[in-house]
Amino acid sequence: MINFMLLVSRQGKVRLTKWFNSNWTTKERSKIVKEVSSLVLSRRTKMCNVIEYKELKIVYRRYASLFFIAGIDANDNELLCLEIIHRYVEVLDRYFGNVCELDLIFNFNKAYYILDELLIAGELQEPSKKAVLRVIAQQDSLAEGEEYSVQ
Amino acid sequence: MFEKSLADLIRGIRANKKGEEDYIASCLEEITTEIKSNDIDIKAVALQKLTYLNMLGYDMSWASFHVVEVMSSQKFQYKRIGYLAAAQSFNKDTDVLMLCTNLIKKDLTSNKMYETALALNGLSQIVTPDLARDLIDDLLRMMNHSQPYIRKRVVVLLYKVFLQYPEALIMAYPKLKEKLEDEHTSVVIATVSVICELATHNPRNYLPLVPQLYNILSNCSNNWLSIKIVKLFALLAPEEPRLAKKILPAFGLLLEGTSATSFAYEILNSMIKSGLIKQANQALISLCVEKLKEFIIDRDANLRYLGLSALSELVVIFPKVIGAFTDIVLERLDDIDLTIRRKALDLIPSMVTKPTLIPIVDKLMSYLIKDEDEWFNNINIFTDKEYRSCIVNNILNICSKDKYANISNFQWYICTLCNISFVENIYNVDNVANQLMDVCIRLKDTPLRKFIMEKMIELLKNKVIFEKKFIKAGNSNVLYVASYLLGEFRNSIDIENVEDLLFSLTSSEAKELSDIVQNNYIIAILKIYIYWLLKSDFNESSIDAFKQITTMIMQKLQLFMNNSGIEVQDRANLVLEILNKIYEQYDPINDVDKDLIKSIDSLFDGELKPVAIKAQKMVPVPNELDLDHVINEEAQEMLNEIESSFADESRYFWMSRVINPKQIKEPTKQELREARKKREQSKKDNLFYLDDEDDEKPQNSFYEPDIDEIPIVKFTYDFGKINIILI
Repeated sequence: MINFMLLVSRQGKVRLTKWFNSNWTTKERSKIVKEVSSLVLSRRTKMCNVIEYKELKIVYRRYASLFFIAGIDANDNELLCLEIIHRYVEVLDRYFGNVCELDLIFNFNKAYYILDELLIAGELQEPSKKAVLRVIAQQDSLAEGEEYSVQ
Repeated sequence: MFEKSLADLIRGIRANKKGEEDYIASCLEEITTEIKSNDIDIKAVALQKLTYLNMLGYDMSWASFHVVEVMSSQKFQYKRIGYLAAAQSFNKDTDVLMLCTNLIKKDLTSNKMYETALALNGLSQIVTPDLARDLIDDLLRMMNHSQPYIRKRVVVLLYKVFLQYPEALIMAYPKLKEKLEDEHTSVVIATVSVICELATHNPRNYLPLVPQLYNILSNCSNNWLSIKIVKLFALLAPEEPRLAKKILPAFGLLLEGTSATSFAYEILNSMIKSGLIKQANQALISLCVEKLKEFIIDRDANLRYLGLSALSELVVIFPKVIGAFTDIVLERLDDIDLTIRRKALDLIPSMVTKPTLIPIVDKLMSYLIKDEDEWFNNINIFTDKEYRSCIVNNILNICSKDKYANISNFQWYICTLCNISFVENIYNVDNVANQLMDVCIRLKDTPLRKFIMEKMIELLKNKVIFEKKFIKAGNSNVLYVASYLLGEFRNSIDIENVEDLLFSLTSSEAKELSDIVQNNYIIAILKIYIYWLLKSDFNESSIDAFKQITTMIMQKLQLFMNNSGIEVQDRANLVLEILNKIYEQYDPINDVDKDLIKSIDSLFDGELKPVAIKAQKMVPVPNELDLDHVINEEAQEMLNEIESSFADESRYFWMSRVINPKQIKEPTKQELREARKKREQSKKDNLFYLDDEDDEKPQNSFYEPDIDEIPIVKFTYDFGKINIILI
């Protein structure tokens, strides 16, 4: 299970935090964000994308100025997690059209909505990019008050 | 009329980099008013801004009621803002959650699919035992929802529900089983994921699903699904011995056939982690070894890292398998990625054998003394203390393993240890010194002793080790070992070298060394000086040498006497006095006087021997020693008291005979705390009280009975009964 997902800029600014594990208090969460982001930011390029952190494993990947970070259970598949991260980035990229950090800052809620289509309770719920993009588009048009119908 | 949109807020924060805190504080103030507005538009935007600030670390628990207000909006766009805010900020202690049950129920059963989805996602974040109990019927019904989009969410959400409300699992199990056959892959993935998580807690429950799972695995073309099923099988296999036979050939075929590395890695890793590989046949093991090798030499750093991780678990199962990896693991010590180097380093102890030890250690040494300018990927290896210390520890561990069993050439090892003493930027120089001491004391062979002495003299004479950086880093403490060994095993020193050695020991650099080293120096000087007197044949012509050297040492001892450390001064003084007496009274030509020197030398008699850890057990208990004899009767009774306090019931029983139960007032926690505080304060104030941590025994001072009155002997326990009561 993915325990949490973070988006952190190269300067250490948090752009998204999603907690799938409800065992941590607010205080512990901010401690984790701090420790994990400093761990990840201190990594060099070309280093591997897996770090051991307490009883978890941190899997991260950098896309331009943003680090996408996931904290997974010790027996989870790191490579699969990297694929999930990549899938998320691909969907964001398609959705925003060549996504950049600013898109995610000004549309932080959209970043959450898209993540919610990809993952639920820390598990992958939809492996298909197309399906995710389709439902997001439908939700957007619904929000904009446009007509829609559920097939 | 709201003042700022979300974009305004974000722009504002970016514009006010210097006064960010103040700016946000003023925004929070605005939000506090806006969020109370009756206009849902204003309220929702305020909540969205607040959620943004929450992500930056600002508290929003005060606004939970407003979150529910927005969640209950009729409009989808606001509903999603509300649910997002709830997912981000609610926790199990949020009191408004109780108000949410009906709201969520309504949204779950909404005829708009996306509202249902919102509620499901939100619920997955905020579900509590109460919510789980109240909504389980709806959720179970929704497992048959017409839309796979909803079904997959319900299935995953159920896992969270089970965690909060375990009874739900029994109700949901049949349907969960059914969902394995769902026509939509995403629902099947969701179901397998949930079963996989559940199986980490209690795998036995899911063994009946094996045939179904096996079917899915054999007909599956979806990478994500296959990975989850393999993981699940790895959890189930240890519970059912027959499963391994069936599943291992399938794993072998999949491993051979797949081109997806994440899947190949999952099969390998699952087989190793679950121990399934123990039952694999030779062909499958070799296939695994080949795949692992491919990983370890792959261009992708992740595969190299994961390959080494998996390998380190595989060697625990098959220690011999490491032989096939020796070369490629050693190559990884040069990896561009330090994390991978560290992993490779961790594997080194498992691959050391007698013949490979020397080349491996020499290779490790080469990293320690490599060029200062060597940079890897912007990290200067030379300054990475952590990594260098790891290497040193590794060398020490692999060499000392099983009492140095793998070392065939001790001269080489002693040289290596001496070389490490000059290594900069490590934390553990003291460990090196300790090991040098240990190994040298153990080696009793005469030529080796001679060799050690030569090496130690070399160390002592090497001016490099007196350099400031070495003294500061503690490297010079190796001289503690050198001086001690020279003094202790002086008989192995060539007599021609002794005068020279005495000069080295009294050189003026010695005053820079730490006190513990100086202490050893002083005693070494005495021991070696006496040895020199005993071994030298003085005659009329060489008597001057005796006088010269003795006065020289006496002068140089002043060096140590100027030390501010009292112990060093004391020792220097003692040795100086002895030398003074010798200088005044000893006639080196007269043989009779030699007895004096011999008697001083006898003070240093005796041989150091290593003591085995289990040595104490081998000491026989003397006949006259009766370990069961009571030496303090009161102590015995106190022990009884403590013992009986373990079983509450019994204590109550005999206590009640001593004290009228009515008089006992249970002290509250508050009173106990105060009493303890008082007691500690009076302890502190008492000058004569020596603090003793053992004092904190679980005694209850309120029940201080007169020990003689306790009728312990007459009382018989019925342990069977007591146990039942306690349970």
